[in-house]
Amino acid sequence: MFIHIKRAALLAALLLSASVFAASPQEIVKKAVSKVLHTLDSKKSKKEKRQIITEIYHNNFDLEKMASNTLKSDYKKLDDAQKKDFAEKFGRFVLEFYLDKIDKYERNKIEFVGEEIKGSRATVMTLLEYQGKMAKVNYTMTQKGDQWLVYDFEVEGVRLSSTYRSQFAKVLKENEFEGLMGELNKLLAKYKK
Amino acid sequence: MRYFFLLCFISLLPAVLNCGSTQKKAGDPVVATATGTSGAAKEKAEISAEEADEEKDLVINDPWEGFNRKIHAFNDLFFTYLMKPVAQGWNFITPTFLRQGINNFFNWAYTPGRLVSNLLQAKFAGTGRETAQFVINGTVGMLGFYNASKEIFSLERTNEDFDQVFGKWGIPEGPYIVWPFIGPHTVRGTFGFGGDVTFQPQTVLVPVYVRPETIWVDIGLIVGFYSARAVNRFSLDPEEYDNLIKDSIDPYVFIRDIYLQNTRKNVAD
Repeated sequence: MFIHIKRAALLAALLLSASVFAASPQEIVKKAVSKVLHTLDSKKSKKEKRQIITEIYHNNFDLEKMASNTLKSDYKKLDDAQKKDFAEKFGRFVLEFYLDKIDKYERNKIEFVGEEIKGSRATVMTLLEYQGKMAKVNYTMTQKGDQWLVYDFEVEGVRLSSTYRSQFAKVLKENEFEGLMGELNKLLAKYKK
Repeated sequence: MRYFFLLCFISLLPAVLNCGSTQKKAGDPVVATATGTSGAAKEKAEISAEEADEEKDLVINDPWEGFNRKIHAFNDLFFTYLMKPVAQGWNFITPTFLRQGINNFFNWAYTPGRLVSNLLQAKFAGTGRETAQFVINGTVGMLGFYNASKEIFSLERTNEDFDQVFGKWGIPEGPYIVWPFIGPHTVRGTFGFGGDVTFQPQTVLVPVYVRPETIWVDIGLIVGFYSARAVNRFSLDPEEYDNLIKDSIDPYVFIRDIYLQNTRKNVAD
């Protein structure tokens, strides 16, 4: 009996503390990653898995910030409708890119190394087993209200934003905004197989 | 003179092998080992965080882009129409464990280069790790075929090379340059590649038998070993290169930017 009360009290305390202190960036990434892995391990159909992972992605990524952080100075030159269109399309591309990669997931080991918070920015450092070696995967996050959202990531020093920045800038320079949207459509089409 | 001649060839031709691994390195930076401690990781994250805050763009030094693009196009064809079919054929006729074993053997046989690179950067922990790994895999691992150090002792290899040594010594990387067969490098990386090759077993063993009249045989042997390793490594995942460039609008820029970011991280580590 006492044990039950103790357990209940502990549970209540845990719940309370969870609502008082917002989750840290590392906890958020941990939770999202474990949800993704859980989904991949489940016996759901491919379509269902896709749906669940898409939802996790939208709950944890800041697509607008991801867009502005990738286009940098070019982003300011776009009008509001273009900004929105680009953020949406680029967000879809990153999702497809991610889905395409985790398709090859084979119960890889993941370690959480630590987090670094600087004002409204945070970096969560993880190690992911890939082809028998541990690769550094870092997530860069921003605080929006009381929520931490991912807007950039880095795999072995290679950043999402830096890797697409020059390619996008070149297309924008040569073929304007429409050209860039066309190229993104072409990229997206490659995943529809 | 004979040796000079040989060295020239060594640093250029045998590249065939590294086509596979270089593409891999460029394209698949994930492959590199994460060796940093959490402290180093934090330090690195801090640097990247500051970079992003200041909205700094990736520094790209590519004055020879026109030439580089032509070589890139050549490598792409070479890779798609020669390397890939050969690797696929090898993949088809051999079981995975054999190909994995051969790849493990080559990784083991290339220990001296990594070990010296660790030493020259005063990375003593890495040097120790490479030494232990070399001994364990050479014995328990049957000359490296079985990666015993990793499977039994969870001991990872390092990914140190001469480009990182030169980088740590403060030598600037210089312009980006794409070589036929060996693919993306910087000028410093090219010299680094020469350093790596010098410590590879075929370069050390084959010249022992060099006679002027058989020099072509020896060069053939060196290039052959290289190519064998490249083909075998690539056969572990023949789609890797295609999967990589699939995500790009401009494969040349994509590979270049990935290569530069990855090497800079490796040097900083």
